[in-house]
Amino acid sequence: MSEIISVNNLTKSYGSHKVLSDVSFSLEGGQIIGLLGPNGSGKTSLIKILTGLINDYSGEVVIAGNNPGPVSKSMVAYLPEKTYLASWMTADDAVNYIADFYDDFDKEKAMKMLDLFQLPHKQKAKTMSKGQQEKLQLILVMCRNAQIYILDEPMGGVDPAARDFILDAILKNRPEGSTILMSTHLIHDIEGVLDSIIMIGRGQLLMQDTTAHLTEAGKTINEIFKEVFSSDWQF
Amino acid sequence: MTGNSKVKGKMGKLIKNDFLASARIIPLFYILEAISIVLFYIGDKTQKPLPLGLGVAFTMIVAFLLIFISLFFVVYDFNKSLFSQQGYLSFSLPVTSKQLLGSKMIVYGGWMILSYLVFTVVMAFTGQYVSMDVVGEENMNMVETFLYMFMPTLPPKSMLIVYLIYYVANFFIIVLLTVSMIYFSIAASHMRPFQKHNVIFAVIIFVAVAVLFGILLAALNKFFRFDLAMYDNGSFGLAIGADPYSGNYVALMPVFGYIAYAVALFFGTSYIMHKKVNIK
Repeated sequence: MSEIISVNNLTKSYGSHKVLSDVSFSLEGGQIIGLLGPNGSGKTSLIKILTGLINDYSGEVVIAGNNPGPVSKSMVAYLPEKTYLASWMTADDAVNYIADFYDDFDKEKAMKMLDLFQLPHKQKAKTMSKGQQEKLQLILVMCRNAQIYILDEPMGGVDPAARDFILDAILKNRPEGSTILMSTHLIHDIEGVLDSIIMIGRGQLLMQDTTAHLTEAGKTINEIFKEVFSSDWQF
Repeated sequence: MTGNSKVKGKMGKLIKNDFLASARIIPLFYILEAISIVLFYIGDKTQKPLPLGLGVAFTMIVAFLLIFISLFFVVYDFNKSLFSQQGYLSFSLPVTSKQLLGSKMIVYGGWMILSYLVFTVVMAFTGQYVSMDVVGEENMNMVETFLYMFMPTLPPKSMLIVYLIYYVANFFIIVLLTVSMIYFSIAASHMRPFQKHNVIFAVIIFVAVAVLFGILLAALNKFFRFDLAMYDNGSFGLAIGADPYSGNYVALMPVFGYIAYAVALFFGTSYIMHKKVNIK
Protein backbone atom coordinates (compact mmCIF):
# COMPACT_ATOMS: atom_id res chain seq x y z
CA MET A 1 0.00 0.00 0.00
CA SER A 2 1.47 3.43 -0.94
CA GLU A 3 1.93 6.41 1.34
CA ILE A 4 -0.90 8.92 0.84
CA ILE A 5 -0.21 11.46 3.60
CA SER A 6 3.20 12.31 4.98
CA VAL A 7 3.88 14.78 7.79
CA ASN A 8 7.42 15.59 8.92
CA ASN A 9 8.45 17.73 11.89
CA LEU A 10 5.24 19.72 11.76
CA THR A 11 5.06 22.58 14.23
CA LYS A 12 2.33 25.18 14.48
CA SER A 13 2.02 28.01 16.98
CA TYR A 14 -0.59 30.69 17.61
CA GLY A 15 1.53 33.51 19.00
CA SER A 16 3.53 31.96 21.85
CA HIS A 17 1.12 29.01 22.17
CA LYS A 18 2.37 25.88 20.42
CA VAL A 19 -0.54 23.72 19.22
CA LEU A 20 1.49 21.18 17.24
CA SER A 21 5.03 20.33 18.21
CA ASP A 22 7.36 18.43 15.90
CA VAL A 23 4.68 16.00 14.71
CA SER A 24 5.73 13.34 12.20
CA PHE A 25 3.76 10.45 10.76
CA SER A 26 2.80 8.88 7.49
CA LEU A 27 -0.42 7.18 6.43
CA GLU A 28 -0.92 4.42 3.92
CA GLY A 29 -3.72 4.72 1.38
CA GLY A 30 -6.94 2.74 1.45
CA GLN A 31 -7.41 2.80 5.22
CA ILE A 32 -9.85 4.32 7.68
CA ILE A 33 -7.78 6.15 10.23
CA GLY A 34 -9.03 7.63 13.48
CA LEU A 35 -7.46 10.88 14.60
CA LEU A 36 -8.00 10.75 18.33
CA GLY A 37 -7.31 13.19 21.10
CA PRO A 38 -9.07 15.23 23.77
CA ASN A 39 -10.41 18.73 23.12
CA GLY A 40 -7.61 21.21 22.46
CA SER A 41 -5.11 18.49 21.55
CA GLY A 42 -4.40 19.98 18.10
CA LYS A 43 -6.64 17.72 15.97
CA THR A 44 -8.45 20.56 14.20
CA SER A 45 -5.24 22.52 13.60
CA LEU A 46 -3.67 19.40 12.07
CA ILE A 47 -6.72 18.90 9.86
CA LYS A 48 -6.72 22.56 8.79
CA ILE A 49 -3.08 22.19 7.74
CA LEU A 50 -3.77 18.98 5.82
CA THR A 51 -6.68 20.61 4.01
CA GLY A 52 -4.76 23.79 3.18
CA LEU A 53 -6.76 26.12 5.42
CA ILE A 54 -3.70 26.95 7.51
CA ASN A 55 -0.50 27.59 5.57
CA ASP A 56 1.61 29.27 8.21
CA TYR A 57 3.54 26.38 9.82
CA SER A 58 6.98 24.83 9.87
CA GLY A 59 7.76 21.30 8.72
CA GLU A 60 6.70 19.40 5.65
CA VAL A 61 3.28 18.12 4.68
CA VAL A 62 2.69 16.03 1.55
CA ILE A 63 -0.77 14.95 0.38
CA ALA A 64 -0.76 12.42 -2.47
CA GLY A 65 2.58 13.81 -3.65
CA ASN A 66 1.63 17.49 -3.33
CA ASN A 67 2.07 20.13 -0.67
CA PRO A 68 -1.26 21.50 0.58
CA GLY A 69 -2.64 23.79 -2.13
CA PRO A 70 -5.13 23.84 -4.99
CA VAL A 71 -3.98 20.48 -6.38
CA SER A 72 -4.18 18.65 -3.05
CA LYS A 73 -7.54 20.31 -2.36
CA SER A 74 -8.88 18.82 -5.57
CA MET A 75 -7.99 15.36 -4.22
CA VAL A 76 -9.26 15.82 -0.68
CA ALA A 77 -12.94 15.83 0.33
CA TYR A 78 -13.12 17.80 3.55
CA LEU A 79 -15.95 17.87 6.05
CA PRO A 80 -15.29 20.59 8.64
CA GLU A 81 -16.66 20.58 12.14
CA LYS A 82 -18.60 23.78 11.39
CA THR A 83 -21.59 24.32 9.14
CA TYR A 84 -20.19 26.30 6.25
CA LEU A 85 -22.97 26.77 3.71
CA ALA A 86 -23.85 30.29 2.57
CA SER A 87 -27.20 31.41 3.95
CA TRP A 88 -28.59 32.08 0.47
CA MET A 89 -27.83 28.57 -0.81
CA THR A 90 -30.57 26.03 -1.23
CA ALA A 91 -29.68 22.33 -1.23
CA ASP A 92 -29.70 22.40 -5.04
CA ASP A 93 -27.49 25.52 -5.08
CA ALA A 94 -25.00 23.80 -2.79
CA VAL A 95 -24.89 20.72 -5.03
CA ASN A 96 -24.38 22.88 -8.14
CA TYR A 97 -21.69 24.90 -6.37
CA ILE A 98 -19.65 21.82 -5.43
CA ALA A 99 -20.21 20.30 -8.91
CA ASP A 100 -18.67 23.46 -10.41
CA PHE A 101 -15.40 23.10 -8.54
CA TYR A 102 -14.78 19.37 -8.15
CA ASP A 103 -14.52 17.22 -11.25
CA ASP A 104 -14.90 14.08 -9.12
CA PHE A 105 -18.30 15.14 -7.76
CA ASP A 106 -21.22 12.88 -8.70
CA LYS A 107 -24.10 15.36 -9.05
CA GLU A 108 -26.68 12.75 -9.97
CA LYS A 109 -25.88 10.71 -6.90
CA ALA A 110 -26.06 13.86 -4.75
CA MET A 111 -29.54 14.68 -6.05
CA LYS A 112 -30.69 11.14 -5.25
CA MET A 113 -29.18 11.33 -1.78
CA LEU A 114 -31.04 14.58 -1.09
CA ASP A 115 -34.27 12.64 -1.62
CA LEU A 116 -33.00 9.65 0.34
CA PHE A 117 -32.11 11.91 3.28
CA GLN A 118 -35.44 13.73 2.86
CA LEU A 119 -33.79 17.10 2.38
CA PRO A 120 -35.92 19.64 0.48
CA HIS A 121 -34.14 20.72 -2.70
CA LYS A 122 -35.36 24.31 -2.63
CA GLN A 123 -35.05 25.07 1.06
CA LYS A 124 -32.40 27.62 1.98
CA ALA A 125 -29.57 26.45 4.23
CA LYS A 126 -30.28 29.23 6.74
CA THR A 127 -33.78 27.84 7.37
CA MET A 128 -32.58 24.23 7.77
CA SER A 129 -32.03 22.66 11.17
CA LYS A 130 -28.43 21.99 12.22
CA GLY A 131 -29.01 18.28 11.61
CA GLN A 132 -30.28 18.95 8.08
CA GLN A 133 -27.30 21.17 7.33
CA GLU A 134 -24.92 18.49 8.57
CA LYS A 135 -26.63 15.87 6.41
CA LEU A 136 -26.37 18.17 3.39
CA GLN A 137 -22.67 18.76 4.01
CA LEU A 138 -22.15 15.03 4.37
CA ILE A 139 -23.80 14.49 0.98
CA LEU A 140 -21.57 17.14 -0.60
CA VAL A 141 -18.48 15.38 0.74
CA MET A 142 -19.45 11.75 0.23
CA CYS A 143 -20.68 12.26 -3.34
CA ARG A 144 -17.14 13.05 -4.39
CA ASN A 145 -15.00 10.23 -5.70
CA ALA A 146 -12.00 11.58 -3.86
CA GLN A 147 -8.76 9.85 -2.99
CA ILE A 148 -8.80 11.17 0.55
CA TYR A 149 -11.66 12.08 2.91
CA ILE A 150 -10.82 14.22 5.91
CA LEU A 151 -13.73 14.40 8.31
CA ASP A 152 -13.54 16.61 11.39
CA GLU A 153 -15.88 15.34 14.11
CA PRO A 154 -18.48 14.10 11.61
CA MET A 155 -20.68 12.81 14.41
CA GLY A 156 -20.14 15.59 16.91
CA GLY A 157 -23.30 17.15 18.30
CA VAL A 158 -25.77 14.61 16.91
CA ASP A 159 -27.85 12.02 18.74
CA PRO A 160 -26.74 8.32 18.87
CA ALA A 161 -29.23 7.24 16.18
CA ALA A 162 -27.98 9.93 13.82
CA ARG A 163 -24.38 8.86 14.52
CA ASP A 164 -25.10 5.37 13.16
CA PHE A 165 -26.80 6.92 10.16
CA ILE A 166 -23.82 9.20 9.43
CA LEU A 167 -21.26 6.43 9.87
CA ASP A 168 -23.30 4.18 7.61
CA ALA A 169 -23.48 6.92 4.94
CA ILE A 170 -19.71 7.40 5.11
CA LEU A 171 -18.91 3.70 4.79
CA LYS A 172 -21.46 2.99 2.04
CA ASN A 173 -20.43 5.92 -0.13
CA ARG A 174 -16.69 5.64 0.25
CA PRO A 175 -15.02 4.77 -3.07
CA GLU A 176 -12.94 1.62 -3.03
CA GLY A 177 -9.30 2.25 -2.21
CA SER A 178 -9.92 5.71 -0.77
CA THR A 179 -8.48 6.86 2.53
CA ILE A 180 -10.55 8.29 5.37
CA LEU A 181 -9.00 10.31 8.16
CA MET A 182 -11.65 10.95 10.77
CA SER A 183 -11.20 12.97 13.94
CA THR A 184 -13.52 12.20 16.81
CA HIS A 185 -13.81 11.92 20.54
CA LEU A 186 -16.71 9.44 20.16
CA ILE A 187 -14.32 6.51 19.90
CA HIS A 188 -16.79 3.89 21.03
CA ASP A 189 -19.03 4.59 18.02
CA ILE A 190 -16.35 4.21 15.38
CA GLU A 191 -13.66 1.94 16.69
CA GLY A 192 -15.13 -1.08 14.92
CA VAL A 193 -14.50 0.45 11.52
CA LEU A 194 -11.02 1.86 12.09
CA ASP A 195 -7.98 0.24 10.51
CA SER A 196 -5.52 2.34 12.44
CA ILE A 197 -5.33 5.28 14.80
CA ILE A 198 -3.26 8.37 15.45
CA MET A 199 -3.46 9.71 18.99
CA ILE A 200 -2.35 13.25 19.72
CA GLY A 201 -2.31 15.21 22.95
CA ARG A 202 -0.96 18.67 23.80
CA GLY A 203 0.19 18.99 20.22
CA GLN A 204 2.36 15.90 20.22
CA LEU A 205 2.00 12.55 18.54
CA LEU A 206 1.47 10.03 21.32
CA MET A 207 0.58 6.88 19.41
CA GLN A 208 0.22 5.55 15.89
CA ASP A 209 -0.66 1.92 15.30
CA THR A 210 -3.12 -0.44 13.67
CA THR A 211 -6.26 -1.24 15.63
CA ALA A 212 -5.59 -4.96 15.11
CA HIS A 213 -2.28 -4.65 16.90
CA LEU A 214 -3.57 -2.39 19.65
CA THR A 215 -6.51 -4.63 20.52
CA GLU A 216 -4.51 -7.88 20.54
CA ALA A 217 -4.38 -7.81 24.34
CA GLY A 218 -8.15 -7.62 24.57
CA LYS A 219 -8.50 -3.91 25.29
CA THR A 220 -10.74 -1.69 23.20
CA ILE A 221 -9.47 1.52 21.59
CA ASN A 222 -11.81 3.43 23.90
CA GLU A 223 -10.13 1.85 26.95
CA ILE A 224 -6.67 2.57 25.59
CA PHE A 225 -7.71 6.20 24.94
CA LYS A 226 -8.94 6.52 28.53
CA GLU A 227 -5.68 5.07 29.85
CA VAL A 228 -3.58 7.50 27.80
CA PHE A 229 -5.69 10.50 28.69
CA SER A 230 -6.32 9.55 32.31
CA SER A 231 -7.08 12.13 34.97
CA ASP A 232 -3.30 12.73 35.36
CA TRP A 233 -3.26 14.05 31.78
CA GLN A 234 -5.75 16.75 32.62
CA PHE A 235 -3.27 18.53 34.91
CA MET B 1 -6.44 13.57 -15.29
CA THR B 2 -3.41 15.31 -13.78
CA GLY B 3 -3.56 17.41 -10.65
CA ASN B 4 -2.86 20.64 -12.51
CA SER B 5 -5.58 20.04 -15.07
CA LYS B 6 -8.03 19.54 -12.22
CA VAL B 7 -7.49 23.07 -10.92
CA LYS B 8 -7.34 24.96 -14.22
CA GLY B 9 -10.32 26.90 -15.44
CA LYS B 10 -11.77 27.49 -11.98
CA MET B 11 -11.59 31.29 -12.18
CA GLY B 12 -14.63 31.38 -14.44
CA LYS B 13 -16.53 29.21 -11.95
CA LEU B 14 -15.57 31.53 -9.11
CA ILE B 15 -16.77 34.58 -11.03
CA LYS B 16 -20.00 32.82 -11.95
CA ASN B 17 -20.73 31.84 -8.35
CA ASP B 18 -19.74 35.23 -6.92
CA PHE B 19 -22.03 36.84 -9.46
CA LEU B 20 -24.89 34.48 -8.56
CA ALA B 21 -24.39 35.28 -4.87
CA SER B 22 -24.50 39.02 -5.57
CA ALA B 23 -27.35 38.76 -8.07
CA ARG B 24 -29.90 37.87 -5.40
CA ILE B 25 -30.20 41.44 -4.11
CA ILE B 26 -28.23 44.06 -6.07
CA PRO B 27 -30.27 43.79 -9.33
CA LEU B 28 -33.44 44.51 -7.32
CA PHE B 29 -32.17 48.07 -6.84
CA TYR B 30 -31.61 48.43 -10.58
CA ILE B 31 -35.19 47.28 -11.15
CA LEU B 32 -36.29 49.92 -8.61
CA GLU B 33 -34.27 52.51 -10.52
CA ALA B 34 -35.92 51.46 -13.79
CA ILE B 35 -39.38 51.80 -12.19
CA SER B 36 -38.45 55.28 -10.92
CA ILE B 37 -37.32 56.31 -14.41
CA VAL B 38 -40.62 55.04 -15.88
CA LEU B 39 -42.49 57.12 -13.28
CA PHE B 40 -40.33 60.10 -14.21
CA TYR B 41 -41.11 59.54 -17.90
CA ILE B 42 -44.87 59.23 -17.28
CA GLY B 43 -44.77 62.40 -15.18
CA ASP B 44 -42.94 64.24 -17.94
CA LYS B 45 -45.34 63.06 -20.63
CA THR B 46 -48.51 63.80 -18.64
CA GLN B 47 -47.05 66.91 -16.97
CA LYS B 48 -48.68 65.89 -13.70
CA PRO B 49 -46.69 67.29 -10.79
CA LEU B 50 -47.08 64.31 -8.43
CA PRO B 51 -45.69 61.48 -10.60
CA LEU B 52 -43.10 63.87 -12.04
CA GLY B 53 -41.92 65.01 -8.62
CA LEU B 54 -41.88 61.48 -7.25
CA GLY B 55 -40.18 60.19 -10.40
CA VAL B 56 -37.37 62.75 -10.21
CA ALA B 57 -36.92 62.26 -6.46
CA PHE B 58 -36.93 58.46 -6.55
CA THR B 59 -34.64 58.31 -9.59
CA MET B 60 -32.04 60.38 -7.74
CA ILE B 61 -32.47 58.64 -4.36
CA VAL B 62 -32.27 55.13 -5.81
CA ALA B 63 -29.23 56.12 -7.90
CA PHE B 64 -27.53 57.09 -4.66
CA LEU B 65 -28.72 53.86 -3.01
CA LEU B 66 -27.12 51.87 -5.83
CA ILE B 67 -23.70 53.15 -4.79
CA PHE B 68 -24.43 52.53 -1.14
CA ILE B 69 -25.70 48.97 -1.67
CA SER B 70 -22.75 48.09 -3.94
CA LEU B 71 -20.33 49.37 -1.32
CA PHE B 72 -22.19 47.46 1.38
CA PHE B 73 -21.89 44.22 -0.59
CA VAL B 74 -18.18 44.78 -1.24
CA VAL B 75 -17.68 44.73 2.53
CA TYR B 76 -20.37 42.21 3.50
CA ASP B 77 -19.59 39.51 0.93
CA PHE B 78 -15.82 39.63 1.43
CA ASN B 79 -16.13 39.39 5.19
CA LYS B 80 -18.89 36.80 5.21
CA SER B 81 -17.73 34.45 2.46
CA LEU B 82 -14.09 34.33 3.50
CA PHE B 83 -13.79 35.08 7.20
CA SER B 84 -16.94 33.62 8.76
CA GLN B 85 -17.70 29.88 8.89
CA GLN B 86 -18.41 30.09 5.16
CA GLY B 87 -14.65 30.50 4.80
CA TYR B 88 -14.32 26.75 5.40
CA LEU B 89 -16.08 26.27 2.08
CA SER B 90 -14.29 29.07 0.18
CA PHE B 91 -10.77 28.25 1.35
CA SER B 92 -11.12 24.50 0.78
CA LEU B 93 -11.95 25.04 -2.91
CA PRO B 94 -9.19 23.96 -5.33
CA VAL B 95 -8.22 27.54 -6.17
CA THR B 96 -5.53 29.98 -5.05
CA SER B 97 -6.08 32.96 -2.74
CA LYS B 98 -5.34 35.23 -5.69
CA GLN B 99 -8.16 33.61 -7.67
CA LEU B 100 -10.58 33.97 -4.75
CA LEU B 101 -9.64 37.63 -4.39
CA GLY B 102 -9.52 38.34 -8.13
CA SER B 103 -13.00 36.95 -8.65
CA LYS B 104 -14.42 39.20 -5.95
CA MET B 105 -12.58 42.22 -7.34
CA ILE B 106 -14.07 41.60 -10.78
CA VAL B 107 -17.65 40.96 -9.62
CA TYR B 108 -18.01 43.47 -6.81
CA GLY B 109 -15.69 46.04 -8.43
CA GLY B 110 -17.90 45.66 -11.51
CA TRP B 111 -21.04 46.36 -9.48
CA MET B 112 -19.37 49.43 -7.95
CA ILE B 113 -18.37 50.82 -11.35
CA LEU B 114 -21.84 50.19 -12.74
CA SER B 115 -23.48 51.94 -9.79
CA TYR B 116 -21.26 55.02 -10.23
CA LEU B 117 -21.95 55.11 -13.96
CA VAL B 118 -25.71 54.93 -13.41
CA PHE B 119 -25.45 57.57 -10.68
CA THR B 120 -23.46 59.91 -12.95
CA VAL B 121 -25.85 59.51 -15.88
CA VAL B 122 -28.93 59.90 -13.67
CA MET B 123 -27.59 62.99 -11.93
CA ALA B 124 -26.49 64.60 -15.19
CA PHE B 125 -29.81 63.88 -16.85
CA THR B 126 -32.09 64.86 -13.95
CA GLY B 127 -29.93 67.90 -13.19
CA GLN B 128 -30.20 68.99 -16.80
CA TYR B 129 -33.96 68.33 -16.81
CA VAL B 130 -34.66 70.21 -13.60
CA SER B 131 -32.52 73.22 -14.53
CA MET B 132 -33.63 73.33 -18.17
CA ASP B 133 -36.44 75.82 -17.70
CA VAL B 134 -34.57 77.87 -15.17
CA VAL B 135 -31.26 78.63 -16.81
CA GLY B 136 -31.78 77.50 -20.39
CA GLU B 137 -28.74 78.30 -22.54
CA GLU B 138 -26.65 79.06 -19.51
CA ASN B 139 -26.16 75.34 -18.97
CA MET B 140 -23.24 75.31 -21.36
CA ASN B 141 -21.69 78.23 -19.52
CA MET B 142 -22.04 76.23 -16.29
CA VAL B 143 -20.21 73.31 -17.86
CA GLU B 144 -17.47 75.60 -19.09
CA THR B 145 -17.12 77.24 -15.66
CA PHE B 146 -16.87 73.76 -14.17
CA LEU B 147 -14.12 72.77 -16.59
CA TYR B 148 -12.17 75.97 -15.87
CA MET B 149 -11.86 74.77 -12.29
CA PHE B 150 -9.54 72.03 -13.53
CA MET B 151 -7.75 73.56 -16.50
CA PRO B 152 -6.63 77.09 -17.45
CA THR B 153 -7.88 76.85 -21.01
CA LEU B 154 -10.41 74.51 -22.51
CA PRO B 155 -8.84 71.76 -24.61
CA PRO B 156 -9.30 71.81 -28.37
CA LYS B 157 -12.33 69.82 -29.47
CA SER B 158 -10.10 67.20 -31.12
CA MET B 159 -8.61 66.48 -27.69
CA LEU B 160 -11.89 66.02 -25.88
CA ILE B 161 -11.89 62.31 -26.60
CA VAL B 162 -8.46 61.99 -24.95
CA TYR B 163 -9.80 63.80 -21.90
CA LEU B 164 -12.82 61.57 -21.83
CA ILE B 165 -10.78 58.37 -22.01
CA TYR B 166 -8.43 59.70 -19.34
CA TYR B 167 -11.18 60.61 -16.89
CA VAL B 168 -13.20 57.43 -17.43
CA ALA B 169 -10.11 55.21 -17.07
CA ASN B 170 -9.00 57.20 -14.03
CA PHE B 171 -12.41 56.79 -12.51
CA PHE B 172 -12.46 52.99 -13.01
CA ILE B 173 -9.00 52.68 -11.50
CA ILE B 174 -9.94 54.77 -8.46
CA VAL B 175 -13.01 52.59 -7.84
CA LEU B 176 -10.90 49.41 -8.05
CA LEU B 177 -8.27 51.00 -5.80
CA THR B 178 -10.98 51.76 -3.23
CA VAL B 179 -12.19 48.15 -3.36
CA SER B 180 -8.57 46.95 -2.96
CA MET B 181 -8.17 49.15 0.11
CA ILE B 182 -11.38 47.81 1.62
CA TYR B 183 -10.37 44.19 0.97
CA PHE B 184 -6.90 44.72 2.41
CA SER B 185 -8.33 46.36 5.55
CA ILE B 186 -10.82 43.56 6.14
CA ALA B 187 -8.27 40.78 5.56
CA ALA B 188 -5.69 42.44 7.82
CA SER B 189 -8.30 42.97 10.54
CA HIS B 190 -8.76 39.19 10.72
CA MET B 191 -5.10 38.61 11.55
CA ARG B 192 -4.51 37.28 15.02
CA PRO B 193 -3.51 40.56 16.79
CA PHE B 194 -6.64 42.35 15.49
CA GLN B 195 -9.15 39.50 15.42
CA LYS B 196 -10.96 40.29 18.69
CA HIS B 197 -11.92 43.81 17.62
CA ASN B 198 -11.75 43.28 13.89
CA VAL B 199 -14.42 45.83 12.93
CA ILE B 200 -12.65 48.69 14.70
CA PHE B 201 -9.28 47.59 13.31
CA ALA B 202 -10.68 47.30 9.78
CA VAL B 203 -11.65 50.99 9.95
CA ILE B 204 -8.30 52.00 11.48
CA ILE B 205 -6.34 50.02 8.88
CA PHE B 206 -8.43 51.50 6.06
CA VAL B 207 -7.71 55.04 7.24
CA ALA B 208 -4.01 54.23 7.68
CA VAL B 209 -3.79 52.72 4.18
CA ALA B 210 -5.56 55.76 2.68
CA VAL B 211 -3.34 58.26 4.53
CA LEU B 212 -0.18 56.38 3.52
CA PHE B 213 -1.33 56.44 -0.08
CA GLY B 214 -2.03 60.17 0.10
CA ILE B 215 1.49 60.80 1.41
CA LEU B 216 3.12 58.58 -1.22
CA LEU B 217 1.13 60.15 -4.02
CA ALA B 218 1.93 63.69 -2.88
CA ALA B 219 5.64 62.83 -2.73
CA LEU B 220 5.58 61.20 -6.17
CA ASN B 221 3.72 64.15 -7.65
CA LYS B 222 6.20 66.57 -6.18
CA PHE B 223 9.37 64.81 -7.30
CA PHE B 224 8.40 62.67 -10.29
CA ARG B 225 5.50 64.49 -11.90
CA PHE B 226 4.85 63.72 -15.54
CA ASP B 227 1.86 64.62 -17.67
CA LEU B 228 0.28 64.17 -21.01
CA ALA B 229 0.49 67.57 -22.72
CA MET B 230 -2.10 68.46 -25.36
CA TYR B 231 -1.38 71.19 -27.89
CA ASP B 232 -3.73 73.40 -29.85
CA ASN B 233 -2.66 71.86 -33.15
CA GLY B 234 -4.09 68.52 -32.02
CA SER B 235 -0.79 66.82 -31.16
CA PHE B 236 0.23 65.65 -27.72
CA GLY B 237 3.36 64.48 -25.91
CA LEU B 238 4.88 63.63 -22.57
CA ALA B 239 5.74 66.55 -20.28
CA ILE B 240 7.98 66.07 -17.25
CA GLY B 241 7.78 68.51 -14.36
CA ALA B 242 5.28 70.75 -16.13
CA ASP B 243 3.30 73.45 -14.39
CA PRO B 244 -0.21 71.98 -14.46
CA TYR B 245 -1.77 75.43 -14.72
CA SER B 246 0.25 76.56 -17.70
CA GLY B 247 -1.50 74.54 -20.41
CA ASN B 248 -3.61 71.52 -21.21
CA TYR B 249 -2.11 68.72 -19.20
CA VAL B 250 -3.50 65.58 -17.71
CA ALA B 251 -1.47 64.18 -14.85
CA LEU B 252 -0.25 60.64 -15.49
CA MET B 253 1.67 60.06 -12.28
CA PRO B 254 -1.45 59.66 -10.09
CA VAL B 255 -2.85 57.08 -12.51
CA PHE B 256 0.32 54.99 -12.27
CA GLY B 257 0.27 55.56 -8.51
CA TYR B 258 -3.31 54.25 -8.25
CA ILE B 259 -2.49 51.17 -10.31
CA ALA B 260 0.74 50.39 -8.42
CA TYR B 261 -0.95 50.81 -5.04
CA ALA B 262 -3.93 48.67 -6.06
CA VAL B 263 -1.60 45.92 -7.30
CA ALA B 264 0.47 46.07 -4.09
CA LEU B 265 -2.71 45.85 -1.99
CA PHE B 266 -3.98 42.94 -4.09
CA PHE B 267 -0.82 40.92 -3.45
CA GLY B 268 -0.75 41.99 0.20
CA THR B 269 -4.35 40.90 0.71
CA SER B 270 -3.78 37.60 -1.06
CA TYR B 271 -0.70 36.94 1.11
CA ILE B 272 -2.65 37.65 4.29
CA MET B 273 -5.51 35.39 3.15
CA HIS B 274 -3.07 32.58 2.35
CA LYS B 275 -0.65 32.85 5.24
CA LYS B 276 -2.00 34.90 8.10
CA VAL B 277 -5.66 34.13 8.60
CA ASN B 278 -7.08 31.24 10.60
CA ILE B 279 -10.83 30.93 10.19
CA LYS B 280 -12.67 30.32 13.41
